[in-house]
Amino acid sequence: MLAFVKRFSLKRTKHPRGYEDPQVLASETPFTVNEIEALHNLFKKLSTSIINDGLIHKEEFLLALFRNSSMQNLFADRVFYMFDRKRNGVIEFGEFVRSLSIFHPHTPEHEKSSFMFKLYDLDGTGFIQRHELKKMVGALLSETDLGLSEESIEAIVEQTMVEVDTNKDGKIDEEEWKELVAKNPSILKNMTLPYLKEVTLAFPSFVLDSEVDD
Amino acid sequence: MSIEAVTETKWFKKSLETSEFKPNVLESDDRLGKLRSDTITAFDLISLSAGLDLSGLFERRKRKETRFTATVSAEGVVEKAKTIGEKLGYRVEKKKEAMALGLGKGRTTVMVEAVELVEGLVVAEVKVVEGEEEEEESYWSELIVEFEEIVLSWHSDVSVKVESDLA
Repeated sequence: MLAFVKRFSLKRTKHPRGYEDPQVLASETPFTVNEIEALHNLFKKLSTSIINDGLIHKEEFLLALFRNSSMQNLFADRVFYMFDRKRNGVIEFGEFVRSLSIFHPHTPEHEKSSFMFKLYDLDGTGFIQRHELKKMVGALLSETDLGLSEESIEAIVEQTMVEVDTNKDGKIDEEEWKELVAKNPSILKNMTLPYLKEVTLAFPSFVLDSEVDD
Repeated sequence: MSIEAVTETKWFKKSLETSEFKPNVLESDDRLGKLRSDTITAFDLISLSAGLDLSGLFERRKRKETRFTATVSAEGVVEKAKTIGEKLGYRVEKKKEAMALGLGKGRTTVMVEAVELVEGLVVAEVKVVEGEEEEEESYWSELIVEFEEIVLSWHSDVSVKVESDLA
């Protein structure tokens, strides 16, 4: 049974669960050790904003993204779910870095494409089904002022299924998704965060904290 | 989708309120409501979600951005953005994505993008992607006012995003 850290300590030797060594993370992601340390500074800020335990809870994630810890947003919920790889309800440091690495500009497109497919596969069946597509379009519309009618939503969903579901089995599989991405790469634009190449500028590691020089 | 059905939509009614749209222009135009069949899909629409934009995790302040429904085509929006950019002394950079344009001045970079969701419904987004707070303020107000003539309606959800409460 894991012993929980009662008080989050800033000393290097005591870390909350899910902490991984920056050297290990750097060797397995496109980030350098200094960048991982900068991400750790960001992580510390996010993970102590509401519950001071060094783990990112859903409310802390929503607070960071929307400045509103009780924001209702299907897509943010899905992103949180995808980041929480162990499915234990919190985003740990290792999960944070590994998930963010998919958004790095140098990460290959097929990884971004795969992540996005799984994110859109709401019930995890391995397919994006018509009702899931409709739910997502509805969710997007409730976020914006677009105010499309029910008929327009149906038309958009129908047209998408016609366009993308090439084997006509009523659902979109990953192969069909990849074909869509190849034709229309801008649907992956949210999967690249140029900021990740400048993270050491935004969240500098001070000399005292840094374990290694780049 | 019939013209009657389109005119019943909230979007259409709102567009009448916010502009001097002449209703009789539609009588001969029954393209409205038919979806363009090239590459625009529901996924393009979904990708507009704020929940999928993780740049907010890194930004210490919200950068200026706005969205509007346009009175012109997506190409028209990009053309207008280019004209505005040149008029105000921005460097204009055509992007490899279809209807997107980058405008740069000083240390500020603004991205303008337009997409035709269904035939007749063009949504454009103008956002600051790089810049410093002080420069951004003055550049933004000067830039946005130039877009007015191609705006059917501004989307209020974007500029008040930070305060909005959907609960």
